[in-house]
Amino acid sequence: MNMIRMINVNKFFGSVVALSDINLEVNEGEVVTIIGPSGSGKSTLLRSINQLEKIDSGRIEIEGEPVVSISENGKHEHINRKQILRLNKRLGMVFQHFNLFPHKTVLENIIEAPVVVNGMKKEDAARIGLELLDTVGLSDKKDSYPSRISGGQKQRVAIARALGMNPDVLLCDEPTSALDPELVGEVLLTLKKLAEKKMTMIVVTHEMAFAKEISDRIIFMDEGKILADGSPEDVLSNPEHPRIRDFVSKFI
Amino acid sequence: MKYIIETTGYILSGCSLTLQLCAVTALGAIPLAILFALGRVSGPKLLDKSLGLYAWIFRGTPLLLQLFFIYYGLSIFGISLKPFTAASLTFIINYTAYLMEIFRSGIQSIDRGQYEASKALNMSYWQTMKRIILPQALKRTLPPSCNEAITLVKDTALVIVIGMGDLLRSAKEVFTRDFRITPFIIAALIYLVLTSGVIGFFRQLEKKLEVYD
Repeated sequence: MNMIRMINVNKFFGSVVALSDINLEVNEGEVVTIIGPSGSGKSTLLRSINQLEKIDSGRIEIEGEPVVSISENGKHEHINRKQILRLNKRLGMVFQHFNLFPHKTVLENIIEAPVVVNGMKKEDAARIGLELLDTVGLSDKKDSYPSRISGGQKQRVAIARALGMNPDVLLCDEPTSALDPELVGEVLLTLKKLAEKKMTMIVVTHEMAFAKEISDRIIFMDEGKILADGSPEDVLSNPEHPRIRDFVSKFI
Repeated sequence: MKYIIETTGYILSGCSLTLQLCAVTALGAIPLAILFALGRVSGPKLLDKSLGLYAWIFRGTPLLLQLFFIYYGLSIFGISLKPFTAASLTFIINYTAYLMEIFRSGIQSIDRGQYEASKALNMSYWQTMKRIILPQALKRTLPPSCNEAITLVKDTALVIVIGMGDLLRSAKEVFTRDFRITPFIIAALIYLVLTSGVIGFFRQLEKKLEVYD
């Protein structure tokens, strides 16, 4: 099943092209990583899927239904707000800087949205929250405030928080870029476990070895365009495009 | 000694007005200021501009003038308010202007990532503000808010000019009658007790919210 579909998506920051005619499909259970030089539009692409960035034209569908559709002349197709909310709830997101709520404990961070947005009972949410903390290996930190745990632990809590809304697709925006090198491994391991459970994931990353290991597909972006979209071997091992060859060579 | 006790008792009788006015002002100004601050941060530009103009006027003119304007000035237009109503109104309008700007700066100091995380979790605007942004923003604004609260306790003495009997006026009356300095010293001590209470209250609040730093 088609989980995410982007059709002719364009986005500009002033006169700078952030996304140029992006066409992308991600299927159920697929793990797709997006790589490329900084400023290439990777994060913008990811963030436009859950509308943290507004696109200027194109169409984005979640599970076959549109969340945004704008023709080339800027005409918006009207989409019911309830539909957008329902579809957006299928997405979870993990941020580079974690963005945990500092005034809430680890467990409160996880149960906040299930309780407030979905109206779940606090006890039920807490039970699920504790299970999620267990899967990311942080049960003992449930009553800690984010300021008291390490960066790697914060990101694992952030992953658990995203999973708390039971999403179908997890969007990860450079999940290890803000971490000390020795803390990267624990976060990547957590994501790898999710990939093994057939969670649909789109991951923007600079971790080449990780991308190669977990990805079903790798997408290479440069200057707002998708230059390559294929299996890790196709994209990384024998890159056709000189930009990709150039980029990949820096990591060996 | 007997004189001091009697004088203190008399001055304290004026204290209830001071406290009432402080309470009414706090209860009126804090929610209004939060609402207005949100209006400035997330409302339409015209609302932001209007509230900016409001802050400009009420922070830029003397509180005493505003009190005159509302109590005496409005009576020219046939609106005559009771002294306590006029004083409450003036203090609420004036303090809302200051607190609005304090809360606005607090809200704007919260990292964008907090909004993005809330949005990614599909929280609504009001859920985000009430549960995520405001609790953090208000905590950050506790020190300047404490300053405002202390100033408020002292500013209430201005109501003398519209003929109200607060604690300073009671002290003045005793002074006029006895021509002794004691009532002023007692009044000063009472103000110090009141403002110490305010400081203690805010310190407790800050301490309680320190847990997540």
